[in-house]
Amino acid sequence: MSLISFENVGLRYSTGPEILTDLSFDLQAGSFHFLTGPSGAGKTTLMRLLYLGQKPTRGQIKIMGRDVLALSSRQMTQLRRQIGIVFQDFRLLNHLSAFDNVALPLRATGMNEAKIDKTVKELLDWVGLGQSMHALPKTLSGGEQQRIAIARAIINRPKLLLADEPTGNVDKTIGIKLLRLFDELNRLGTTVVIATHDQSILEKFDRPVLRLENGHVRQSVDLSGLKSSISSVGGKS
Amino acid sequence: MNFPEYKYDLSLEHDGSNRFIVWIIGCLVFIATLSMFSALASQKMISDWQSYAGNHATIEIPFSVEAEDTALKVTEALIPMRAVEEAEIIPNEEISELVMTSLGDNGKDDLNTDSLPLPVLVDITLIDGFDQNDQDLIREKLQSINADASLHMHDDWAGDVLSYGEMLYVGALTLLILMTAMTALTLVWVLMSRVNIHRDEIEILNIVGADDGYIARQFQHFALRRTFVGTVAGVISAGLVMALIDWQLGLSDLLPDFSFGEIIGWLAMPVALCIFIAYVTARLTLRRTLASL
Repeated sequence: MSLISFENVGLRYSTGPEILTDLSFDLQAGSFHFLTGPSGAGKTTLMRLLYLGQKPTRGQIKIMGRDVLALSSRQMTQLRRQIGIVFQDFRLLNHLSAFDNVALPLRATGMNEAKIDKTVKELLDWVGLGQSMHALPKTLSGGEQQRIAIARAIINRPKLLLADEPTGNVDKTIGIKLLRLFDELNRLGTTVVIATHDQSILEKFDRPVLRLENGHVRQSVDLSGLKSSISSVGGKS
Repeated sequence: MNFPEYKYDLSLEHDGSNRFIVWIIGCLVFIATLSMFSALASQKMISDWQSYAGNHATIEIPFSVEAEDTALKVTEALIPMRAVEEAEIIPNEEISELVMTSLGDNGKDDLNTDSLPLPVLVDITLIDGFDQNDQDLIREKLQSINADASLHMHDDWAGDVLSYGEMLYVGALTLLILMTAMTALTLVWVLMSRVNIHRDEIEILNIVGADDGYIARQFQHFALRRTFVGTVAGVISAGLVMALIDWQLGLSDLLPDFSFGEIIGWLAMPVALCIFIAYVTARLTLRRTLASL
């Protein structure tokens, strides 16, 4: 079953050139994909389209079977609650503790505080930050902040987990540990898409690769030799 | 002022300019509260003058040897009339005092008012619903007794004073409306600038699944809290200033006769009004601003 479907998607800002051109692909539910390409290829922009931070200027995007251009504001919020996102710069709220950062998605859904307390503590223990739950993000290392960001992204048990250069601001050892965490989540049934330009990661983890170049999907590489769940590349024609 | 703990996801509490919002709202409410009481005082003044001037008239009998006898005749003739409730000759001492105010302190010592050709005055109290026909009847009666006697309706000369009072009233009300509008505009400015300042945080909240209503509630709480503190400070300051003026100059004659409860009620009104304005302004502003992000 297709979880994400792009059909002739294009994106431009104002009257500028198209940043993404004729993107067409499908990603299956439960799959794990890397999104790669050189700097400026449009990886972050494509991620924005995936986490509904941006609407395409043309084409059709379906996420979990829903056309994102046809969604009302309320439906958009409901869909976002099923998507977890981890950023390279963590994007944590620095005035909130690790606990409160992770609790954000639950509070936004109106969950009661007792349940939030239990769920957040369990998850922080799982990512190895049970002892630092009251610490402010700036007092923690890059790896710890990234784990808070991951905990925040997965606390709602999302169907789709996106990560934009999640290893960009942490050292290699921690980067590998983080990717193993994503791998574990994928085994639990979460669809994972990780944007990265780190070739060593692509080689270490045998997963299908979606390659972006100058706004186009140029090639799909299935390093494991398995059939890629990317059904078409550079347009469906 | 301590409030129950409220957990802001946005860093609204970490802004150094927050205290200025309270100060600005406090100053606006201070002026608005004084304007409100000025409007009340003007209204009472207008009402007092209207009730006095509308029900009173003065008959002037020019100075002559028979003036006092004429005044007695006039009084006796007017009392039985339907439109006249009461008629009373104003004592000479009172007339002298009225003249004295024009002569000043020196005139009081140098001049004996008994030697002045002062007219005799009769103050008449009229019934409610006194009309032009009643006025004509009184004038006819006067003419029949003394052709030189004249009737002065107080509401003719009180007109200017009433206009002045009404001008004060409208001025105070305008100031009140202006201050209320300024409070609303201040809140719009504060909220719109805060939304821009915290745009990145709002985006994060949106990404993690917070809807506009959830985000708006944080701003609304922030606005209501600042408005409440500013309003209470403004009202208390205005109350203290009025108490000081009352202590120094006396206000009790200027303002309507309020019980303690009524004064508290009037003072609570700006607080309630500002909270309402803050709520509505925040709701409308945020709905539009967040939707445009």
